[in-house]
Amino acid sequence: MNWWRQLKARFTGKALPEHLRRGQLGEAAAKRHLQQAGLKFLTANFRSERGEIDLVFRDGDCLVFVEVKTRSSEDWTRPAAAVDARKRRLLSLTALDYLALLKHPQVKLRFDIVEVLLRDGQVREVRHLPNCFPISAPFRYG
Amino acid sequence: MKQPRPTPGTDRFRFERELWRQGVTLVAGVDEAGRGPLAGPVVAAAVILPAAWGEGGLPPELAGLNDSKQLPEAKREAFFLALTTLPGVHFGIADCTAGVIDRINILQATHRAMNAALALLSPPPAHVLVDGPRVPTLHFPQTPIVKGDALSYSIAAASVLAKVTRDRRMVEYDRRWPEYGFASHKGYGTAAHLAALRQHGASPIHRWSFAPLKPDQRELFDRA
Repeated sequence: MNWWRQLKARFTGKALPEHLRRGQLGEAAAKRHLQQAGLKFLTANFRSERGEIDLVFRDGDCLVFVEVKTRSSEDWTRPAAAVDARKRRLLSLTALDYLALLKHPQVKLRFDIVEVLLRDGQVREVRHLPNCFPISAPFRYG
Repeated sequence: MKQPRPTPGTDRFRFERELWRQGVTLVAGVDEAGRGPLAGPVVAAAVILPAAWGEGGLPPELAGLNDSKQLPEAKREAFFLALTTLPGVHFGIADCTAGVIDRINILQATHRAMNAALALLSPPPAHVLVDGPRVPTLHFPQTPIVKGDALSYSIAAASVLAKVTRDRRMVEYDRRWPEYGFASHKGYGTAAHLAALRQHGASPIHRWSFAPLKPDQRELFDRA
């Protein structure tokens, strides 16, 4: 059935489920926004055994781990509120895995959230919330 | 393509025969596939061939069995079918995912997969023939054989099982992430694969500890 799905995707222009496509749109918008703000893009969709990080940037001498939250309408809560304690812990651990691949450099680091608001499938607003939360303790470095 | 043929004079049961003569009948061959690629798991397989084949030779289905790298894909598939269906052949196949490879390094992950494959053999082997250098963490007595996949039928059989299993897995991943072309290059660092990586970034099955993806300290300290 794969060829059928591929064919359908080609003609309808829908390769991915709606929520994933929205996520990709949001991440691309967030990446552009931060690059315009002068941050240096390092990598996207970093994955370790423990989790994933949407975007990694460097802001001067500071390593920036970015979680992108995309919402189609801002009805009840801010998108950033979806980053709860568990998600912060997960992001922290994954960031530590990233640092391990860098052989534990002596750098500053922070966690940012970028909220992307969509309306009618278009990016309406991008909000950058720098240094949203500290790395979850306890952790071991090095 | 030239049909690879075992050169006459090389007895590819020589290591097995030696052990069989000592009364060790359960001799397993172990090999791995997918140590080099930038994406996907590393797969290991373990095979125990029946000791009776020492006298009778290989059954007709397995005529021409060789190192998986020397065989065309159709041949590998045929041998895979034969090895998994012939009575008396015991086998185990196991993998280690990209996440584990990144955490414990590719060599350790390969060895872990080998041990997992051996653990799947229903009568546990009494001795193991390993392709390449010694595996210090192996849970069984072993004989490491450099170029073992060309010298031992057991290791050649294991190499075929591992290679076919991994290739099939990569074809499945190609459906999930069609932009990289896993079905054609199987995750290896071909020009097409590297170009797709530059354009689309990494997928969840890419190995972040491997060169083109691995984060680089130099990116942290150069000019802003």
